[in-house]
Amino acid sequence: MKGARRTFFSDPVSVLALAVLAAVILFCIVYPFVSPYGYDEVNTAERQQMPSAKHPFGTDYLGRDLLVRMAYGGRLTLSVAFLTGLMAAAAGTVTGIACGYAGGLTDSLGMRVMDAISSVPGLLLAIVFDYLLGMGRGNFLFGIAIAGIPPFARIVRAAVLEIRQSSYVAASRALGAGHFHIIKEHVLHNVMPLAAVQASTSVADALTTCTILGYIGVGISPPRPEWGVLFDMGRKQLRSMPHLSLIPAAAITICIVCLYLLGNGIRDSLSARGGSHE
Amino acid sequence: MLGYFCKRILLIIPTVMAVILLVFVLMASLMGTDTSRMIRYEDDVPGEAPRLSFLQQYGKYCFRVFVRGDFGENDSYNSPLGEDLMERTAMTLRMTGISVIATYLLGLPLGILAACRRGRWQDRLITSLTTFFSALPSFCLALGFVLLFSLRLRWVNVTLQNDADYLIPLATLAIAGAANVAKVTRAGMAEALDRPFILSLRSLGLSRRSVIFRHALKSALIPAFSVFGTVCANLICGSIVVERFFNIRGLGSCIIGAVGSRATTTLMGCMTIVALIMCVLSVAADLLFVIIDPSLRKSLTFGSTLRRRGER
Repeated sequence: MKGARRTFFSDPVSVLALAVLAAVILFCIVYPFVSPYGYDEVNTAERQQMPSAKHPFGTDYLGRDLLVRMAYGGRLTLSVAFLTGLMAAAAGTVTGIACGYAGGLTDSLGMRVMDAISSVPGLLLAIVFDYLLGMGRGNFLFGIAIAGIPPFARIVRAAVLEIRQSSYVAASRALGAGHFHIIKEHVLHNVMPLAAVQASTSVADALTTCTILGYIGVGISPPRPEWGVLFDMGRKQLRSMPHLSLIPAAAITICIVCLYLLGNGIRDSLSARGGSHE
Repeated sequence: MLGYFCKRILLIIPTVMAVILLVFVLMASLMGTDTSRMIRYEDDVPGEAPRLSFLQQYGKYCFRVFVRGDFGENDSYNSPLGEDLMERTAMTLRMTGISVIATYLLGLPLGILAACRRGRWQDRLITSLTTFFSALPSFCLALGFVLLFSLRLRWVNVTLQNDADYLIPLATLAIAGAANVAKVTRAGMAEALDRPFILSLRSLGLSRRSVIFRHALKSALIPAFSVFGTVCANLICGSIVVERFFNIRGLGSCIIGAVGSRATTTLMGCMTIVALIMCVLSVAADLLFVIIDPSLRKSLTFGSTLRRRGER
């Protein structure tokens, strides 16, 4: 594990991705405390301004500072993405281990359920969840999280099937270890790195779905400045003030790319160590 | 095989009915106690609407949809919903159809190229591009296209006045799908090229090109087309975003509108059509699969289910 960490940090691309992501998160947390403006502070005297020293990202049609709105939006978007991504990770890992370790009926039943979930596009799932379970109560979160489970479960299951066959599990069992011990000490320990790679993908996917939902007006809606919402508000002034849309779009793209690079970096550092299960 | 596909086609209607039932149940639980008028019909007389039980309503809806093609009345104005939905569905299907073709025309060659040049700069370029574009939300891509081609270069008009202007929304739709297809094709092709029979064919003196296109390609196409259903489903989902971005009157913008204004009849109609499309697509995907992989044909009898080789 230590070797893998060293490999990860010796790769400039992964370090850069991690640094950018950390910087964005830190900015979103800190900036609203520092900024002289509130995210819903209307200032009719300074409407529709281009970026300037006073408003680095300009202002929207109500004179609200885009920079502080981006920071607040980032808090919402990124916390939704990480929360749902990690929810999917936890549920997917548990499902994958359960299916792979138990085998038999549990396995085939569980995998059929995963097939059924993945046959519905994630976006549609989130819309339906939000509409049918009541809007404005964060139900879309479950939609995003559930849509992220199947790929996770499949990858973990495949790894568990391989681990279960390994000689060290057989040895452990011969020494009298129980299922719980084997799962905790051997299966979980070996699946974790793989899950870490998939988790970054799943957070990136959750980020995509979350911003699309904000953009089409489902889930988080105005006045809360989610990045997708900000993008949609800027769309109406694309001709005169393209930065209002361009900045949220750039922020979304940067975060997604960084998450993917991070995942690639983790995977590469693990396979360089030679200990990962593909 | 014929029996198998007859069964699959016959199963479409019960599947769609099951989806309708599911949405009905969820919608009823959402509306609370008064579920007597979930669906508006044109021949409803105001004031003396018949109070139907939940199951009666469900039965009536299914009957009207499947027998008469009547989706009820539009929620916002008094006109039959069916015509409007058909127009929108035709628009969405046309766009999806064109972008599916574009997706494969773009994705397959890129995937093959990447696999044949594994480890070299072409592969690295294509792999990073596909990762990037399959992750990018489609509205970001749409924004980039509009800013570049419409506002700066002035090649196309954002308001979509003539057919050529539809190139931007179509490209937006196709690129994300093409990235996925290229990724899968690359993996399939790389795996095929590693197989021993490729080496033996090469050692028999066949040219590299003939080995790649006549022998390896066949097994690489199986995973590429096993994602056909997923690609189409994603395109239909993507059309929700793209239709909103470009103000296209399609099924996707209809769903958003219906969710926003809580128009139950419209939403129900959209859901029915989406379910129908998904079912037909799934049958079409299986048919395509059998055409590509003839070894599956023999195993398909009336009672069997198709287990795809290329699927994970």
